[in-house]
Amino acid sequence: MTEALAGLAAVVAAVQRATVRIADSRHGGAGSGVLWRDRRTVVTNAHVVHGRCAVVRFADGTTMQSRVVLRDTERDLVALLLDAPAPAEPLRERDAASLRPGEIAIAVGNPLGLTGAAAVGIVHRPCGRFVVADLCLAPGNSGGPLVDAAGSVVGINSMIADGLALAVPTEAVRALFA
Amino acid sequence: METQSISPSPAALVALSGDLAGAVERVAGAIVAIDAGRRRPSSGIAWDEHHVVTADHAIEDEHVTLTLASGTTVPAHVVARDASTDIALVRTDAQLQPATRASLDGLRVGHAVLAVARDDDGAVAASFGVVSSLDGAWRTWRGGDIDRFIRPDLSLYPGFSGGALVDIEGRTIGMNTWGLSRRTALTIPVTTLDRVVAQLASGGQKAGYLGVALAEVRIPPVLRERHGIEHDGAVVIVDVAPGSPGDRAGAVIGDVILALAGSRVTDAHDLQRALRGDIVGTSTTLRVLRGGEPRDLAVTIGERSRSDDD
Repeated sequence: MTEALAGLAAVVAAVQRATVRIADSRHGGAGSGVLWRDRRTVVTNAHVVHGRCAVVRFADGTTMQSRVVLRDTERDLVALLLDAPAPAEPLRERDAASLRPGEIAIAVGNPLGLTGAAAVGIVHRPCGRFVVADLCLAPGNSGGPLVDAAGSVVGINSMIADGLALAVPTEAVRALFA
Repeated sequence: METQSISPSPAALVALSGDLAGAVERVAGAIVAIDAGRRRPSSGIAWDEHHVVTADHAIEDEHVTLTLASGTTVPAHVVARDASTDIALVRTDAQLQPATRASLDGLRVGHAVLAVARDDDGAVAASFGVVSSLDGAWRTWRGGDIDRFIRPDLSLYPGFSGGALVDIEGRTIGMNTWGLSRRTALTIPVTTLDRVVAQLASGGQKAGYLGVALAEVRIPPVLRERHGIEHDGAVVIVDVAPGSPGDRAGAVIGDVILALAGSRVTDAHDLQRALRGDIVGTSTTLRVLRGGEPRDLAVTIGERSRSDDD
């Protein structure tokens, strides 16, 4: 158990490095985002970035401009191209369809003005249109990563419904780039 | 593509994650969704090959539809129900996969537990937490006896009433319900489920019958003092069914019931409790106040049929 908890702290630390805080240039609010595929791309929710560009800030404090290169309001996703390479590597991806109810799920993001905050729970039910997780999200988690116990990203946290966390599955994020 | 490497390795966390998913999978075959006329279905636990236990408060119709783990829906009917413990027993002709019971002996506050239910679309659903509070036997607000107090600290989502609380091996600790407390979700332990299911399967718990209608009253202090009565609440008979055990014992309107078979009666609930179980068919004493004087009536307790009101 001690070993599992040490692993949990290590996974959270790794996910924090790949997670960004996003300040929308047009609106005052802050959301979250995650490095995706390479060191120049960040994925977040469409409802986090309303304008054409956004300032992103990494866990180590590195701050840079980015601009929207892909937008899919249907899936509530946006891809941002960073002005400079990120100071971190992207996370491994995992198909959300392979998730089993009961598996550990971890959300990292910037809820309630916090930075790199983690929430831990489990996968609530088999993946459908969304990954549904039994864990507590708050506004500001939007656009941040949901990862499994190995730290592989399985979705983008997007909504809270009946106290459950809803994330857009990895497969839908990949389709954004297709 | 370069990706992050994680140090120390999360192998133990991955193993724990797999164990939790395994626990859900092991119990999932025994968890059914029950459509019983409510807007939203509840869950149930397969108790043997043809019976399901569920939360009584979530059942409206006697004829229900079960959604099994396989996704198939089958008809079923309510065999018997006990509102006092919030347990209902449902039977289907379909073959079920009964839940494996946990031993409650080693259960401790802080143990990891999962609540497992089945959604209306047939998918299994789970939430995670710990045992938050444990205590001894207790009585529900409806007078039902529960062998052990178990409160889990986890989210019991809509549709989770009647589902299972399981340990990390997927063994069933009890049935979760919102029906026993307005403030919190509680778990009815397997031992209580087994006991009540046995009663329900054999035609339900017998209840004694007097055949009197009652109103609650207070005994005037002067009478309490004169006759050494320690309680001030009692019930007064306001109607006696002709030919009923109460009638044959000579009870009349206006008699204030003080005790039955030696059990003090301070309200209607006490009388119901005194009439429960083994007392049926026995000859005993009904102690009343009549005209301010105590009097013992010899009464033979009848058995309440489903249509009797009291």
